[in-house]
Amino acid sequence: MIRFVNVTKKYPFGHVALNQVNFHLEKGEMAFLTGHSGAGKTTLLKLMMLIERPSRGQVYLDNKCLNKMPRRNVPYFRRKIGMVYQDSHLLLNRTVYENVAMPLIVSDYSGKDMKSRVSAALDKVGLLHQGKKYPMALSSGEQQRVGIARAIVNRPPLILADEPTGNLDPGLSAEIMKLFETLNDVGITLLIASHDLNLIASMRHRILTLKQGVLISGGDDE
Amino acid sequence: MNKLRWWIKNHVRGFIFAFGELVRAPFASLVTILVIGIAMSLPAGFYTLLKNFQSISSHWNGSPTISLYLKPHLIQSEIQSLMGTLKKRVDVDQVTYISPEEGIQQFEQYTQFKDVLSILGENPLPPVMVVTPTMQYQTPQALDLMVQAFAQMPQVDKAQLDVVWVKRLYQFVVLSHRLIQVLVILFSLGVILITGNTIRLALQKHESEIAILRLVGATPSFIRRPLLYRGILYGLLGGITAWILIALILMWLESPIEILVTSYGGTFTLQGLSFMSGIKIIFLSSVLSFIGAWLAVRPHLTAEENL
Repeated sequence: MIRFVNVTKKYPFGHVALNQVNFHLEKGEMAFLTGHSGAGKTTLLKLMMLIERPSRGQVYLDNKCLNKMPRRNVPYFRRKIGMVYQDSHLLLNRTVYENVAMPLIVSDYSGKDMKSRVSAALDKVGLLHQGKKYPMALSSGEQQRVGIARAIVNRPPLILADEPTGNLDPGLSAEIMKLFETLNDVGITLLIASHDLNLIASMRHRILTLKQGVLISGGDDE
Repeated sequence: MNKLRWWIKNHVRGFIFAFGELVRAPFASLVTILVIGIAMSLPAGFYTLLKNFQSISSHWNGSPTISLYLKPHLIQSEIQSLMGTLKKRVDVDQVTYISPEEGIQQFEQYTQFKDVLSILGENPLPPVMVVTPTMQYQTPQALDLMVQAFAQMPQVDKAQLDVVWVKRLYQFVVLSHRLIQVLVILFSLGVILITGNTIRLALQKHESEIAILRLVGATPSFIRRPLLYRGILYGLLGGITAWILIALILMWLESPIEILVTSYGGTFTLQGLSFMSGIKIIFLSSVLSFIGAWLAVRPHLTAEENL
């Protein structure tokens, strides 16, 4: 599903965020990406979303090399990936329903089809009847669930999450991770960046560890 | 899906989004629309007044005339044939003949000298033809050519143009037109900047929303479209405001101008903005606003995005 081949990302002023990273994530796999802040987790996710481009090396998704993708195709490409963030990145002046529907509006869905997909996504995260509320009326755990509903509403084959439990207490964090596992059960590939080592160690999935831009465990070299 | 239907759907949606944003911030929108309206009404209003001035000046017989002082002792048929030749020319609108007798009468009337003839014994005035050129030939160059041509005619002793008056009027009109052009350019730039700035602020306000839209796969045109429509809407409503403003200003000015003109013995009704001119104002302000919005949106969406 995802393959990184000798990927290096240098930012201007010489900062090396990723250095010769190699790994391969199978279709249907669920894996964690960990490391200290600044180890390159977010950069790795940004390369997959084509928010950034690698300085050297290739990123493959579904055996397609992303390096050569022209800019105009990037929006269509992003519709196939669900993205979850640390703070839920919701629009506070829109209802939960509208927030979840946003990827569908952008991809030209409308009417009945959109309604049923949004309801299915909200049902999946256990918020089926909260659609008319505004994000501020929800707890932080519920807001994060709305973010996840928005990520899965397009039924993407791949979900990327950047510190999805960073703002949550341990109980809520475990719930969110369980939710991710149920998504994995229906065949979605997941890559979750997190530095909550206790939590991810308890979950028995592959762990990719980054240290100062170098993948020190969980990659292909072992 | 049908490509045309898809296109129409996208544009209708962009328009609805834009309209929604306008209604959501009614006060800010109103200020922008009013500023555009005022900016558009200045040059357009000035233009309308100039149009009116031109029509007033023609009511006042302000058109230049050329006086042809004829050789004395011409017989009636010679005068008739000269009149015929003059009237056939394309550059001649009107020809009036003033015989020496009529001349003396007019002189007596204006100067209030009585019985001039009895003092002078003989009428010293030559017969005169007063020629009014057609509108297109009232430029100084054309009038000079006409005077030269008239002076060559065998029946004409001397051809004279009231040069100073004509040149002043002409220069005044030229100056006014230039002034309007300057105003149009300055205020057009103003409209572009006003809309550009409003849209730029809107972009800043919606920055997080736009970032999220891009990350869930919105195309740049999806994000751009409502903002561009918003620019067009500002221009459209601003143009309508300008039209209304001009109508109100003209109503306000109508009666004092009428009194002024009648005091000079003229008759006058103020010409409002024609329907076509109104449409032109609305069209122009829409186009200018669109340009402003486009300039604001363009650099933002080509920059590499980061969240």
